[in-house]
Amino acid sequence: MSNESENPYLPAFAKVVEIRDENSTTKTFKLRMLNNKALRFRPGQFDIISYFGVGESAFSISSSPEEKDVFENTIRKVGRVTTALFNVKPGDILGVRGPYGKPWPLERVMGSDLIIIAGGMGLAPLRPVIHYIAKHRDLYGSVDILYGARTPGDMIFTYEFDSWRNIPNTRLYLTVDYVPPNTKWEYDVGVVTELLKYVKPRMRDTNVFVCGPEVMMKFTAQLLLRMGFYPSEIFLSLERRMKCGIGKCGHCQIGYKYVCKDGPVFNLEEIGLLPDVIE
Amino acid sequence: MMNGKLKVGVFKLASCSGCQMVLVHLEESLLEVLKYVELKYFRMVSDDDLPNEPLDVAIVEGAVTNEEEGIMIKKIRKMSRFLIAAGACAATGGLNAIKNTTPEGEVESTVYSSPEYIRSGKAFGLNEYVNVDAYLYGCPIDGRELINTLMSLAIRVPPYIPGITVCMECKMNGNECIFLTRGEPCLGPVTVGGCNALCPSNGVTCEGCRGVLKGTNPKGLELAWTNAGVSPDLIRLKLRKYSDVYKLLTR
Amino acid sequence: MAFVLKKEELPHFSKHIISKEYGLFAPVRKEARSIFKRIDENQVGEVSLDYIRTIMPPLKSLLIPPKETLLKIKDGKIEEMLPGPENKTAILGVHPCDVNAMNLLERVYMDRPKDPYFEARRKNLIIIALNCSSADEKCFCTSFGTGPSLEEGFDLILTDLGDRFLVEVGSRKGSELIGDFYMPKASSTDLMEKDETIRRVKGMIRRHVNTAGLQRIMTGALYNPIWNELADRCTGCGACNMVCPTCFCFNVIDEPELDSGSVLRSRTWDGCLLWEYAEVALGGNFRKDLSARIRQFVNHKMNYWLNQYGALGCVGCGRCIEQCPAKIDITSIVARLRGELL
Repeated sequence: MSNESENPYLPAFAKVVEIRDENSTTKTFKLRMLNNKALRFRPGQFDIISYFGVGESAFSISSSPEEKDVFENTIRKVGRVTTALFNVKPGDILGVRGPYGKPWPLERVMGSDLIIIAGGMGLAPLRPVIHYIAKHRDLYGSVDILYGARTPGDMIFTYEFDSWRNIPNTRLYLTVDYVPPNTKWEYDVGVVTELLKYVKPRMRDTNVFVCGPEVMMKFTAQLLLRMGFYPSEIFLSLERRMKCGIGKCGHCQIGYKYVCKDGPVFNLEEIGLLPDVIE
Repeated sequence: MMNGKLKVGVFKLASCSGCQMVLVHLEESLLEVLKYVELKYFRMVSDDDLPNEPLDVAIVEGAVTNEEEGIMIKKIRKMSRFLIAAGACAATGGLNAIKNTTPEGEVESTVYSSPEYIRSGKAFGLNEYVNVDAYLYGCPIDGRELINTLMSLAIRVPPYIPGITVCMECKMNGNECIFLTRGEPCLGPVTVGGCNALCPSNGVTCEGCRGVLKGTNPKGLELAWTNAGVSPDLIRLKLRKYSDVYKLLTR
Repeated sequence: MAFVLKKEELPHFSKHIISKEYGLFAPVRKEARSIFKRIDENQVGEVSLDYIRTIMPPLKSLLIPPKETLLKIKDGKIEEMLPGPENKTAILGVHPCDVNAMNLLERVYMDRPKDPYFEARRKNLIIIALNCSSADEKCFCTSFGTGPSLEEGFDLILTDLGDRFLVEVGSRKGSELIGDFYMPKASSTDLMEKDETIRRVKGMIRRHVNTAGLQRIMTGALYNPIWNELADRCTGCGACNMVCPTCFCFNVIDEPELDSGSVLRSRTWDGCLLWEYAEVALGGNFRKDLSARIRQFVNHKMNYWLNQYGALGCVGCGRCIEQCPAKIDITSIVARLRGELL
């Protein structure tokens, strides 16, 4: 993170170097910090992007942590800041603060098998995990990636799916809630938890990373517990309103936890009994 | 990044023109705003006819009280990409809507000597007829919020008005609570802030002209008034002044 | 070190503070109440230290102003709007509960990474506190040990002894502020009178929160029907958030400043009683029901603070009770949850 003496509210400048369309409502912005700075982050952390004159919003960093000089945010157009960001062109300058938050526990789960379960935009904070594993493949056991979206057209990072399938000892399972007419789809139809039928986890030797809409995470967590997973083996990444990212503005509190500094990645054990976790 | 100046029309339905006056009274700020905004239609300042090119933004003042106004607002909606209901009348019917609670014609004959010339039915906010994209609250609207809204739309971003209450702003101003000290019913606790608690800061209760803030509890406020001994008649008058608090649009 | 200041000397003492280039904030009468305001040399006669409770918490208002510009952005450059060391501020006449509330705010804002705006204002601030010489039925500071007297956390502290103030020094900064302003040394009688005053005020405080095992009780009551019942009465106005001296939440907004062609990024007070507070993208909201928002407010003070910052988040100032239009009373909520009240 930035120097202790620096103003934590002061964004650094970053240049937009590339914008990719993920789907009709989602784009990935590739950014490079100016002034020879770099955003050194760990998978699961987030940053806060400024569009000056409109405001700031927090986004998961979605790129590979191995890429040192650029980083990516995958952003869905949902509000004012994201609307402004969708008007941005390559070469434009944005403000960036961060990275913030606790990352996925990639050290803690080293050596174990991993199940990665994502719904919709929830794949964004998990993409860095997949890239990290691909680079350090021998540090982890078998990896199953379960990804569900509303329709095939709502999926993100589809252009990388083949390369993920080619990671040794790694499988990618896809599902959608609904296939619109005249859409090609050769995978599953149904909720993402149904994909767990393809996975035969080695109990006590498997950890699960989950990110998606809260209700999807709720059902996923419930099913995993029924399957015999311990809460301590289930990790979730939560989304909350954030105005500061550093535990001051108060908005992201769940019980006594701050999502911005105690999360966004939580162990189910930590948050299982807190109020207002699920909408 | 900007696709040229924002093409704006300012329209008036059943209203007092007070909200349009806020735009005129921006004075020097208006000149700054006009660097980003082109006024294509504004009857108060120019005789131009309705523009025949599409508008980026329509700012509409006033309630819909008869068929012609209903046709007018649909026409405005059709020609505008973004429609703003400006002020209490456009948002909820405003003061006009007081008459919705009395038998038809009664209010007109109290006000006018020849009520037969008045063609006016029940008064409604614009959203009874068309989709409204954004609201500017108040009677009249707030100049600062108008500027922020136009400047936001000029960069093609929807406007934002923070969701706080008049009561909170009143506290920030350090005022003694009029309801708690004088027992007078004040709508500040449930009303959308942004006016900097103008009325209670000047010693009179909030009339709720900015509408009910989403998530507040007018029923709880009514109970608090009743418990403080406010008469049912006064409560009824207070709640219906800006077109019946319980029917009000909430944001 | 302790001195005695005759009451008629208070205006001179106030002038002395101003002469040391401090912006002086002190309570003055406004109708039936007292409010803290900036006092200039000609207004020192208005300072009035016989008050029980102001509507707004003075130290929160000074250290985290209701609206504060953080950054000014123009032509691709960002200017930090940090208060400079020349903005020296003295606050005169703050009660122990408010000083203790500021100490709680310090735990939030000085936790790493530090908030440089709070830090700059805090460094510029000299605190001349005022032990309480009276209390009303809404005061309950004794439950949290946050009043009616103060043993530390001040630069100077006054105690009203009838015709005079006892002035005690709490820091070198306080001693330097007195400087060449002559006051006779306090006698042991003065100090005994102070103790007598504090004892008397303690006896006046009738309202209590039983904090023994409170966290366990609050956590156990998260799904108690009381929250729904309160939601029928609560107006959702957020007045409690505003007047609470430990409520620290803020929103951040960008606004154009037309004349200068710049953008101002400001923070404004926010409150957990508001719908928008826990709203996320696409209209989702984790505290949709007013009952969940009331539960958050009460539990944050009486439960979560302890985990987060090592102390309960209430100082017993009584403001939220006094200013609630629905007469919701945090002390009776706790008492009911403890089974001490039906």
